Amino acid sequence: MRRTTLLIAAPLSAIALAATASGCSTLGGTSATAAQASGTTNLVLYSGQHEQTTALLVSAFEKLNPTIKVTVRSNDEGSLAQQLLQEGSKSPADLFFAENSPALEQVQEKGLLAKAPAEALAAVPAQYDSPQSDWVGITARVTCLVVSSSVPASQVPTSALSLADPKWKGKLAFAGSETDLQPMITALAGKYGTKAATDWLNGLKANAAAHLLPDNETVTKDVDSGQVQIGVVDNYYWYRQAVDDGGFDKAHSRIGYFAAGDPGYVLSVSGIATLASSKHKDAAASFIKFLASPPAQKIIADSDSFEYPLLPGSAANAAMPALSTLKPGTIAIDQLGDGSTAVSLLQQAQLL
Amino acid sequence: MQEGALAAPSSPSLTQPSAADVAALVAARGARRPPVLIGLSLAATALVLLPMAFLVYEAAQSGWAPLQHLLFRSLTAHLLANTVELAICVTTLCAIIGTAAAYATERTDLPLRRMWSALIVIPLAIPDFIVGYTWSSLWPSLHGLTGAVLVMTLSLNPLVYLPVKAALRGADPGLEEAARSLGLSPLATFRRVTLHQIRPALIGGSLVVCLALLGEFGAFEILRFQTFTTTIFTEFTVAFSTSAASALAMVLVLLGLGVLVARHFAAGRHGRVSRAGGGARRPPIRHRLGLRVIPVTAGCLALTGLSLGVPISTLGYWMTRNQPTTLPAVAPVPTAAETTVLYAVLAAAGAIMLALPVALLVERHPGPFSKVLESFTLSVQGLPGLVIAMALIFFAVRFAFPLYQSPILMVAAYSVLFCPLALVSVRASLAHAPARLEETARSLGKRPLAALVRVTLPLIAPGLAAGFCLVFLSVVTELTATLLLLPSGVKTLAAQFWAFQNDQSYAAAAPYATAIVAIAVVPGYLLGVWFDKKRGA
Repeated sequence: MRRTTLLIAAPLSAIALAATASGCSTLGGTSATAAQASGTTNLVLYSGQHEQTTALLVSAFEKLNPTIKVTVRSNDEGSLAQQLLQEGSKSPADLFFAENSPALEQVQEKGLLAKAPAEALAAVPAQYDSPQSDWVGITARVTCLVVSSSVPASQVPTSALSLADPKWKGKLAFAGSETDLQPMITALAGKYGTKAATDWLNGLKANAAAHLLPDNETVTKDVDSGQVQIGVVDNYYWYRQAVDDGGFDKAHSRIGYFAAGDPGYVLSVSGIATLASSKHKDAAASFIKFLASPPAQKIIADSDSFEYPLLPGSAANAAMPALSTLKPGTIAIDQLGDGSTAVSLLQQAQLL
Repeated sequence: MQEGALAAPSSPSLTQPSAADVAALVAARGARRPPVLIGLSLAATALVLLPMAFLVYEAAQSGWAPLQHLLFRSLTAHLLANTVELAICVTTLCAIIGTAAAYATERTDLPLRRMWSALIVIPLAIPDFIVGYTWSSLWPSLHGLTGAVLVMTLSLNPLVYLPVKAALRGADPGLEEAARSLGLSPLATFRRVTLHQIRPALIGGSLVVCLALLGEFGAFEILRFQTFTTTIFTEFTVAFSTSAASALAMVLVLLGLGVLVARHFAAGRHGRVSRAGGGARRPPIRHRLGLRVIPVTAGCLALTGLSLGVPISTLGYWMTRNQPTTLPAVAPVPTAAETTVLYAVLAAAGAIMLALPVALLVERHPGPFSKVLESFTLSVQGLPGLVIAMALIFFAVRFAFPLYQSPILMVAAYSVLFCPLALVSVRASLAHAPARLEETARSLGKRPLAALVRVTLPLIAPGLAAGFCLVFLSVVTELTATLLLLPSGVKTLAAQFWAFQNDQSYAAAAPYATAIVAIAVVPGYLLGVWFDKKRGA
């Protein structure tokens, strides 16, 4: 009989637990009302950016603005963009901080973004901002190669197009499903046409048949550990790998930049936007303005995310060449668009 | 007490009852389906079917022509081949390993049985990333099918082990003894009697393995093995192509339903496996292993060493690495552990509550109607967590906005996601609980609910416990739905682990993974202890 009692008691106590717990902080979900009661504004930030740097930025912002609390929801930018599209005008998010501009453009095309604060747009050079003034560029990175120490400098390819050369068969790695690859594909398709871009992707795929990897971290790690000779990544992955190795001189690989102006040498921007549905647009605007201000840009430069701060006068991490010395190709942000050209080319190459 | 029971056949799905259905109705003893049970089952199934409705809606948005273009291409064929190959290999291996391990710990005098029982279950709770990462760093060339089969067999075999063990525990030992006394060899007895007794559990467990494989994501991503699920992920989150993702997910649903149809034929024409008569239950005799104890122990050691020892040693290695990270933990280990355990307990209770009416309907009132209901409920297991989470976002935002990103929706998502695990366990033990005892209770004047609580639930307690633990363990490691639906500002252990691991701060991530494993030991151990207590009783 006691067992019977236990059997009824267990689910009942679970339900009772649920009832009490739904009001308690362990399960979450009540911070917004609590914030309203205490007179603070609660901002919800959907962030696909480097979680560590984002956390540093948020705590610096909260220190400057004691009446605003920022709750961060971290996930990969694609999942967050999808979530925003599903949520539509009811989204609980106030801000969306994406790793690459196409994710922002996807949300922008559905009319879900509000206009960015003019002050922040003015602070960051216009070429790094949303063509429709809907989001502000905060950091940038460039496409590059990560090259194993075993490859002599003279043999490192200097054009993205030459990566499809059969001489790299079995020696090349890349991650077809990384959003970071798409700007490069879009740029090549824009320069040489979609036919040439398709052929190039197929060549790349054949060369990397044994090294089609899930993400850029793995590409960098595999090149660094000597399993493959070169990999297509964004520059910051190499720095993070080198830190993991114990220092820039301890890595077994290096960055190979493409030749100045090479179409595959693409600068892509990570930006932030206010959602049109946000009920705290002023607070959200102050967060964006903060990110485009010198203190925040310095946090970014000093952090180990190894991205370029975009505010003029903000120096990058000392380990990196200055942004002004980089000579990427000429493709503009609005030409990168929402990434749909790149996606359809990737699908044709059966990489997506 | 039976008023309204006659209304049952006119429930929505039965407007046109087939001849077989009517026959089943007549045949099943006292089997007028209680409307309450039907109502609850339909509600559970409807909840579980929300993701399907979402898929159909999203796929229909883009029209047939572009979908055709996306579906009928060489990538789909490649994914189909990969997925089917993998499902066959892993399901077969899990069925063999899970049954062998259950038999060894349940029916032999193997020393340290309780410890083995706990150790065999825990791998279910080790995050895929750790398992995949460990194997790919130990053995960098381990990619593709071989790697996927190895890793998935090691982490999914407990899904067969648990229900089979519960079935072995509940089976009538008299039949085996009769077979032995009539001159059958131990092997023939196992094949002709025991295997028949554990058949529902074995088939149920294999089915869940097969479906879980279809929906698996993390491990394949690391092992570079492309399946429908990994591609659905990229279509959703990289290509922003909801319609393409939905179309591929519907192929996955069809595959899942195919598996269920196959199960229907495999389970087929078998009668009841519950004890025929009354009388006190006597525990089955344990076989003396004698010298065979050495190979059996070696087998258990190999299984737990590969599935548990290897990933845990990776955690140990991470812990010893002194790696600086400035990433502040949103939730320290104790807080994240509290959140995780609370969600896991609520979700396990929720999944059991969804599964129980469906299981009762299927076992006590068999027929095409309940069969279809059960199949739909099970098929959700084949869907990736991402699809289920997206579907719940879709419906919650439109129809239940106050619930959105609230703990209730998160618990509902877990319950839906893992309802099939609970269903399989509950059903397998219901098959062993004689309906006659409930009928006796009813004839003695007990109300149906009282008969359920006082007679049926205690009888199926092992299945309820197994189902509860399975769901609990799965929730502890769930990541994709968690990242999308967890209320902003809190973190489960898996979510915080992901944050550090994504940042390549393995040393900071390791304590969270260790906490996950530690939490998983509890249900694994309790399950073992609880079973042993029952034996003594």
